[in-house]
Amino acid sequence: MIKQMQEFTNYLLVEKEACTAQADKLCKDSRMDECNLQKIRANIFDIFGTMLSVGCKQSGGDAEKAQQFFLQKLDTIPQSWKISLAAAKQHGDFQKQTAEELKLQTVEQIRKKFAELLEASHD
Amino acid sequence: MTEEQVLRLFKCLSDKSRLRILRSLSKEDMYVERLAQRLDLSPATISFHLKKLEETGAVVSHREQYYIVYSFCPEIFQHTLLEMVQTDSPQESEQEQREADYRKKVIASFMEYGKLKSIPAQKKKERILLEEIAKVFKAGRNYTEKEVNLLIADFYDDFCTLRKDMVAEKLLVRKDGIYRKV
Repeated sequence: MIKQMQEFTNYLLVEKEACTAQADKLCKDSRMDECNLQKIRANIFDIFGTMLSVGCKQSGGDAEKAQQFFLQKLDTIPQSWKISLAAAKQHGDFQKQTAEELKLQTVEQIRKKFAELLEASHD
Repeated sequence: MTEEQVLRLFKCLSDKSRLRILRSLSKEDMYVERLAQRLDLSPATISFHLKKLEETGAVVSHREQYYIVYSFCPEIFQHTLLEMVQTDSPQESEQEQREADYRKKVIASFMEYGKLKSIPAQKKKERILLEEIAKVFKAGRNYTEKEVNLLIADFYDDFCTLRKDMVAEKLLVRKDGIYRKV
């Protein structure tokens, strides 16, 4: 399981770097809004990379504890984004709406990948 | 157009994807998925850009059966760049007032009884003082160097520096030893 956690840390890092590289490319191509959206995605991967690292440290090598900590963060952190999304929809703020939706989609991508990892570890 | 609308339009147009969308829509009306396919962007990205374009009035949308179709709106592009640049700002008079107050303050700090106390190190402040001094020159009249020196010596003992700085700041022009106010 520890090995899978390391793999997942690596996955988050690779995704973050891919988003950053894409953001740089978009910036050079004068597509600043799309660049900023990629930066948002990169930031989400970064946040959860940090959370995974904190979870691993706090658990003292207990993979189960680290996993629980990370799953909890996957639920709690996006709560405020959901509230922001609802407010943005209510006020017709499509820019904020796009950003919040993207954050939540990215979290779902991370959750899905993490679930795949857990499944693989049980096999 | 108001200054705010002009700013919003310029900001909106300074994006390659939005320009590509506008280019496509200038040829034919399209819905999101079609644009996404044509420009190889995700429908979500296209929707995002279209909303921005719609806010500036560059595109309009209407419903056709199941689709929302977007159209290029040529009216907004009929304004010339000059017209847009010359759009009055509601804050212009406030800015002018602030500028006038600042000038007064600089003049009060560096001039006493009509004489320059010192030449400020800051270019902006020096420029203000030189403009003030340049008021002694009449537009369209030629001055010899001696006349220039006599006039500006009343303001500051180092009149050579003042004269050179006024030429450097293009407040006076010098040609064949003759000075004229710009």
